[in-house]
Amino acid sequence: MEEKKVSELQEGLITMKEVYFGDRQVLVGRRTILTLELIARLAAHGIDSVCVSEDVDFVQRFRMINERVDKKFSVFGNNPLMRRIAGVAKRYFKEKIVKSFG
Amino acid sequence: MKQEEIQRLIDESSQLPTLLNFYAKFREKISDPRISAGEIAQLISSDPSVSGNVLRTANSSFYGLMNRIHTVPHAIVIIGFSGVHFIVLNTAVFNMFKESELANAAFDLGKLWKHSLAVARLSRIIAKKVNYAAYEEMFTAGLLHDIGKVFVFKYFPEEFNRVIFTVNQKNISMREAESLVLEVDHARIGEMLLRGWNLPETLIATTAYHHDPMLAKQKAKTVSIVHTANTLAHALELGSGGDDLVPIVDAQAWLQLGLSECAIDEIVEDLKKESEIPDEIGEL
Repeated sequence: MEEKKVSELQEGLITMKEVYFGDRQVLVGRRTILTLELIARLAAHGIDSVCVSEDVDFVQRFRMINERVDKKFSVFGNNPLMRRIAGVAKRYFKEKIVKSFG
Repeated sequence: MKQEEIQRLIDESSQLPTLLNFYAKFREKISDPRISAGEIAQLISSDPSVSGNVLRTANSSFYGLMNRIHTVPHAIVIIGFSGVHFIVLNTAVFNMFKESELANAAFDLGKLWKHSLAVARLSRIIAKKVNYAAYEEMFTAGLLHDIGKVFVFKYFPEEFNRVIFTVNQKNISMREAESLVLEVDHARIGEMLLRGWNLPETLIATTAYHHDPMLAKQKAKTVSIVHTANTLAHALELGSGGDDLVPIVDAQAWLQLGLSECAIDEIVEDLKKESEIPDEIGEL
């Protein structure tokens, strides 16, 4: 476990079982894979740093999804609708990984 | 292989899948104004897979009934003739996939079934979102959109393998590879099949133009539903249509639907909820 600043968190890192902010518990029950949404939520709670373990496997899997989707959608350039679909697809795949972690 | 060769095979009805034997009988019955609900129920009950799906649908959460429906006549009253019509057709399409499953070991037809089922579900979700009244018809349209591929898979296995080989070798879409190898693509083959089977014009249009919705003219909006669903199913890698590429959503087609970009997120959320419910039809 290592304490990292929320602003430096990477997708795919794993949080400790429970995350507290002062006395308030903001993540409960189990270790969780960090997604961009979750990192944003932690920041929104005003949390500066979180204890995480660097699981190379999950960080790698998250990175691979980004690369795979980006490569597939690169042919569409800046088409806003296709970029939106790419974003939704990335989230969908990452949720599946988070669920399988379970 | 030329279009004429495919057309000849379609015309030789004895070689066609059993799909339409039951469906044709059903359509003939319901087009007779003197037919009674009892006679329809009798026909439905004669096919175990159709009657099972009719009962499953009537008991699904969609109808939200307090008590279970145990009989086919009661289920028909709940679902209505039009709904039953699409269940009969959906079951027939599923059976066609199943019959073709072992015809060619080089491609997993189960993946194409999963893709078709995903496009069916997404089409129904999009149809509801754009207030398209006949959304169950869009489910059937999604199931049928790639039926041309199933036909080639079953009746022209060598050519199908060459198409798959070309897709992988050149990293092109199924459609492009089909045009190179077969000189005709699955959308056109599907159109010929559905026309031969005398299916409704809307289903013919969604199959024929799902890659080029604006060519469907007055049915462009309807076809745009299946067109968009197809792109989403490819993007989310739900099953496989035979290649790894994501087809672009036609800008005009998207305008036809009148949805905002945020709707993409909502559609996928709705799909996730639906996917938690067991398949309406079955798994290959």
